[in-house]
Amino acid sequence: MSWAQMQSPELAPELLLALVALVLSLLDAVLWPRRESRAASYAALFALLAALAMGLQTWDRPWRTETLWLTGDPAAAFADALVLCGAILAALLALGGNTPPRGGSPILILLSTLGAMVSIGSQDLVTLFVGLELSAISLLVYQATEDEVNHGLGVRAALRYAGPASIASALTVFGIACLWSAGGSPILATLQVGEATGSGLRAAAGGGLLLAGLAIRVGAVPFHLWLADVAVGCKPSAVLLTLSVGVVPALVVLGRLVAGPLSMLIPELEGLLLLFAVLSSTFGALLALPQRRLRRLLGYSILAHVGFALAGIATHAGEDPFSGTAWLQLAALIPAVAGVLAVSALAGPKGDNTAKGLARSRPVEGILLCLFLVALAGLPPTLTFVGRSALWSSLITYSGGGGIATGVLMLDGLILAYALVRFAGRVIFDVPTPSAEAVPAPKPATAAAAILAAAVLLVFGLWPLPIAQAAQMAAYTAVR
Amino acid sequence: MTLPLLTPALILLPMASAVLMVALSGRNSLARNLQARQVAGVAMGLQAALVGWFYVTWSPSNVVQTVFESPWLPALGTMLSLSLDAISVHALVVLSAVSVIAIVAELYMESRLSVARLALIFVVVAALNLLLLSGDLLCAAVAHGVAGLALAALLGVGCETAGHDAARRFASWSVAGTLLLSAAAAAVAAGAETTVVADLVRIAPGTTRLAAPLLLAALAMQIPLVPLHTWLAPVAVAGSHSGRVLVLGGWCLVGAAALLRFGLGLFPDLLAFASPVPMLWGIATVAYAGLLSLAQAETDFAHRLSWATVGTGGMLLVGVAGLETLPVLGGWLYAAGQALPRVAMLLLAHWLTVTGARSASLGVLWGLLALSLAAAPGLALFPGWLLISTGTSAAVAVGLLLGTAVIGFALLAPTIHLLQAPRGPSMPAFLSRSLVLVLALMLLSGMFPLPTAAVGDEVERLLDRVAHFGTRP
Repeated sequence: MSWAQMQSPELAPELLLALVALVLSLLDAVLWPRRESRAASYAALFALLAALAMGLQTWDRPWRTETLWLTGDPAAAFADALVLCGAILAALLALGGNTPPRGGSPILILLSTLGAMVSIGSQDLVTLFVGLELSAISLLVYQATEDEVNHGLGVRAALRYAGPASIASALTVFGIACLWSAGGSPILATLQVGEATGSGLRAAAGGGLLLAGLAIRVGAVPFHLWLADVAVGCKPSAVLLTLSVGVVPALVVLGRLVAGPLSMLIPELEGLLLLFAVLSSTFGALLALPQRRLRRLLGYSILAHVGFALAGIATHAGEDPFSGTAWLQLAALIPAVAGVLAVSALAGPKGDNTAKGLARSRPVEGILLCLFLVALAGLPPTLTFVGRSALWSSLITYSGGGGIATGVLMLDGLILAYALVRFAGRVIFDVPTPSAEAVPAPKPATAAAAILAAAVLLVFGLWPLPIAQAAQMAAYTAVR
Repeated sequence: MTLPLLTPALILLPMASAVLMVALSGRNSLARNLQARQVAGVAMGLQAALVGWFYVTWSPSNVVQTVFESPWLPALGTMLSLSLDAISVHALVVLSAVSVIAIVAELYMESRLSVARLALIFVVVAALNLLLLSGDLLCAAVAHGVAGLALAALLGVGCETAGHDAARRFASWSVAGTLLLSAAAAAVAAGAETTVVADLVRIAPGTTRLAAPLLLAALAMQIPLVPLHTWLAPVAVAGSHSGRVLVLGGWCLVGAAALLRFGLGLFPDLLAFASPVPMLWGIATVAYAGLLSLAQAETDFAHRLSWATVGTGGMLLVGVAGLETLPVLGGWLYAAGQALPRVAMLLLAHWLTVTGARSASLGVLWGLLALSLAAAPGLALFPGWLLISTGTSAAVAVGLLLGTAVIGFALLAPTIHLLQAPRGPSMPAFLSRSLVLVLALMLLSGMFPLPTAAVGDEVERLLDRVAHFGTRP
């Protein structure tokens, strides 16, 4: 079998990331003791950019349905692009820190991204588990080690994440074991086909455990307690990486499984997912309401967005996953969160910044922050508005124009928007509190991350056609 | 040069002006202020000339003309669609006049020129133009959201606490309106697989009917109608001058146009089915606004004006609920004709409150503007008021007569106070000239109500859909 037959073009981004991570690890070992340098970070950033370019280049070729290891369809390519964009922005935020990143940090970014991409493209349960674990472990180490400024908050946040992540791993392993023994094969496409007589209960239990593991990884209520702590305690780059390689891939995998085997194995799956969605969005929106700290507000906003994405997945269980709705929401969420984190990094080193009166003291940062808050609120003219409108439409279609869940989710959207716009009002109109610490000059890498995020949100918000078409294409081809 | 080529300029020109203003913000303040004034003057001049040309070349035979269309969000069947009709052309003219007054207010009435506020004025104008021209419900929601957020920022930037509070309150209501409008668009897309108004010839019963109450609630917030009016009074008394002018003149006017275009145009059968309810809602709004305007202190000019604005929304709704050509046309003429005298009166009210001035000339000016808003014969609002009254039943007409008489009295009452012994400074030249110009326009348009024929045709077209459901003879 030749290399070309083995899906080399589809695997190129993953191979590149693995190769660069290996080279950087070797160099890190050979050049011991470590010196403070940003060279490895730049190498990782360029590797991520090259991987994104390779991933985007596959859109120009005919898609192959038969691949040996990882899926090479538009759905996986779209999700890979999302993960890579998030990782690139995280790498920029890491470069913009006040101290150079540790020697091993870029390697951890690469490995966690690689793990996320492997889990997204996995065609069998074992590969899925390997991908999820690779990203989770790398992420955990990254959260804990990138903690110079917050004096232990990052370690504590990492520990808050470690517990649920460990439980998620255990549940996933048990779920995989149940599914494998019930279906006789770990391959996702054959799970419901190869189900032996009398193994329905085992398969359902396996599916349930797998679902619970993924729900913990996405931070859905009632497994959400780590989310806000990570948003507050970790460095901006670690928060964004948690979203990009932890939460988003888990949502994508969940969407693919719900569209495929899980819908056959778990009875009333849509109802269960919708319950997760309603709880997450309601808790997120209500908890965002009283927040006065930017990062905690961000944490609860992410929780509400997880709820909206789950609602998008739930309304399409068993058919084309997402119908583009969840894809659009995730595509908007990453730049919006990256933007808030970039501005919080520009506004001051502390994670407990209120951003009060920021538009007066630092107009550019203040206006950018308002734009990102408006984006998180799902308001025009940002890409989030497009995703949210598509979600409302699919919810109304799903519920036939009624439904308590639809009403509650819409109300949650309204509450979240109110909380975020009210916060934006504080940013614009309040008198800034004089700070005892001098705010450092903005770092070009952080400013670049903020400007990139704003450009993506505004350009695709005003002209969403390209990204909407790609999302729709991804939705139609993601059915296994 | 044809209309299709020039229509996008109504959005691109103010956007480009806003970008130019932002670019100016980095320069030193003296040069910046001078250039900002020049850019604002030229941009508003171009905008007014463009809209004037549209108005002159618009033929009554052009019922609806789609001038630009491009896919926007295929999943929901949304198109970036710009279309012109007689109502939108008329509204564009009034909106341009209001925008000119907003610019004048920003340049001459603020203690310090703000380039940020000038930029925001142009963003608001672009978004409101898009809302008037949009032939797609979701794109209209986008324009609504942008205009609302920009207006909120415009109201609060550079103001004291009261202005901030007004801005925050306005932002909350406008965000709620945007979300309701987008939810209405999503509901329409769910049932009809498109959000383009021209393609929604007859919306099937079922899920899309959810859109009607959502849309009505969003527009009732914008017009505004009781009980969704609570944002208006704080905005009338606090915030930047340009923001207040654009809210009371532009925002409410565009809401009235949207009610005709989207409310009457999309759900004629539901409107016909529920016809007593909108009528009663409108009458209740007029009565409530009349009583509350009378209850304000005699020198609380701005609050009296804000209640008169709420009453206008009620009159519009009564006209629309009439479901006949004459009352609907009258409702539109009444709502559109209010915009200019209302903003002129707002500026005068602010100046009177700040300076405490009074004199015979001030009393005469105030009285004439109050008469204009009270639909006195010979002035611009009278034809509209007459059409509403004659097109509805006798009982409703009597109710409206009483309501408008009370509002008119509430607006005229301060004239006595102003005619007392003179005191305070004389009025600045720019303000007196602006007010006289507005009064002249009111008088002229009262004598020659030009847009009646073209708007009447457009109203007929919208009402033909009501006839389809057998409610009209």
